[in-house]
Amino acid sequence: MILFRLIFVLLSATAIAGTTYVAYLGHGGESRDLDRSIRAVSAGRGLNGSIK
Amino acid sequence: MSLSPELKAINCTACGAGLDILGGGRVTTHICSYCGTALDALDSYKALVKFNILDRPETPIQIGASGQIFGVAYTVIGLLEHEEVWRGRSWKWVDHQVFSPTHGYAWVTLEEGHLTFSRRYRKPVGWLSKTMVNRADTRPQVRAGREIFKYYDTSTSSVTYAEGEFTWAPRKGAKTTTITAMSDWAMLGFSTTNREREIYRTVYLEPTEITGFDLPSTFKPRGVHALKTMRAGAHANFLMTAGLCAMVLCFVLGAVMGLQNGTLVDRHHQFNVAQLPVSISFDVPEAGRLTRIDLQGNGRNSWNYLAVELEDPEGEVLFESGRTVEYYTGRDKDGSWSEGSNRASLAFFPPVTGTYSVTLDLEESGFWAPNVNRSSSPQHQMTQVSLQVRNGVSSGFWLVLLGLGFGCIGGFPLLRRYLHNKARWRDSDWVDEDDD
Repeated sequence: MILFRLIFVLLSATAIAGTTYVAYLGHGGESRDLDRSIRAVSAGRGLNGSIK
Repeated sequence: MSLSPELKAINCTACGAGLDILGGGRVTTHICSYCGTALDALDSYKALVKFNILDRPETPIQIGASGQIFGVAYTVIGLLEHEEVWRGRSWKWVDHQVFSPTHGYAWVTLEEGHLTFSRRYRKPVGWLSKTMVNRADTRPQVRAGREIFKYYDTSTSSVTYAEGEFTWAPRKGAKTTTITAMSDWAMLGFSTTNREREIYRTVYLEPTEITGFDLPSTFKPRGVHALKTMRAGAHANFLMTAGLCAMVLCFVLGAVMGLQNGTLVDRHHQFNVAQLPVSISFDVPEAGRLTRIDLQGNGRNSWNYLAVELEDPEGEVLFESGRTVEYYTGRDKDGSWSEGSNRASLAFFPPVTGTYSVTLDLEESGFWAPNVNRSSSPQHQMTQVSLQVRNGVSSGFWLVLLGLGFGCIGGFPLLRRYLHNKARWRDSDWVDEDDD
């Protein structure tokens, strides 16, 4: 029982530490449309025409 | 004692069948298992009335079976089947009168494969009546010792089958109204007949708490019984606490990372739109760290598509992209509104350190309502555009995602507890006025 909890805590701590490092580097914040050179939105009425 | 302790068996005074005497001295009625005649145990087993015993209810517990309940030896001495009819539906359950020479009389009830154990409750406790329930604005409750019992339901049932020994005289069709109230562990039943009223305390019987009675090993209860306590896993509380703590930690770290905007790698540039296209060089001190190009315009009720091209230190195009900056505002019957933003950004991972070059151009632009007289409208095109580059930007995205994962781990035991509790109270007939 204690072993399971110990493993859970260790794995959680590792996951948090690893993800914090990844977050520190900025992963997850990069623009998704750069590699493909696709424009973010079509020019004009970029809000899907949902403007009031 | 109304019976002789030496008396172990009798012959039915109606049909002559041999009947074992299993109960103690408080037995007043013995219903013959062969002919259904109710015999008066207090008056030489004189025949009283006759029950129809052809429709014997199905139960794995038979009269004469012995076993242990909570470590106390009991013997089944009688069977009773009850039926409740409400709005065209009927529910049936079987009560087994059990007797222990040391602990007296009790009931084992079988309903939907679930077993419960009931005993007379003789400690001081308030009474719950049908009238009290009908008049109550909030769910009525009674306190018994340290336990609080909340109103569960009101039922009126009648005896449809009786066999064996009883401490009272069952009458076929006699109605009993029972108000039940439930705590976390037990149920109190406030029963009223034409003659008397009494309180029973009922608890759930887990398979480990009842042994013997010739119970089959394949005995499977169906659904969630109101009295069944949830069998949480050995690590449920730990996982709940650890998961929720880890979730909070991830969210805090995610917020901290989300606020890390890195360092400005070059000065803040501002251009007149007429100057576009422009190229700006900037140094990236750290490769592999998120770098963000922030753009800002000053248009109003207009849109502007800014093309962005980035070249790496080798002069190779790293990407071509663009962002629309558009900001709309106005006023309608609901008040002021605004939509969109004059800010936009692109973020990328520079593969190497060195001097990069970004080229900015205004590719397309337009008004939201081109046919409106511009002199009377607050709309105007972007005239100024600013650009800045930040290196070493952090992101809380994956931490928030991890936090949600931990939330699921920590929330699962809570969800199970909530659903189990909901299932326990599912058959309660109390309706809050707000729910009407």
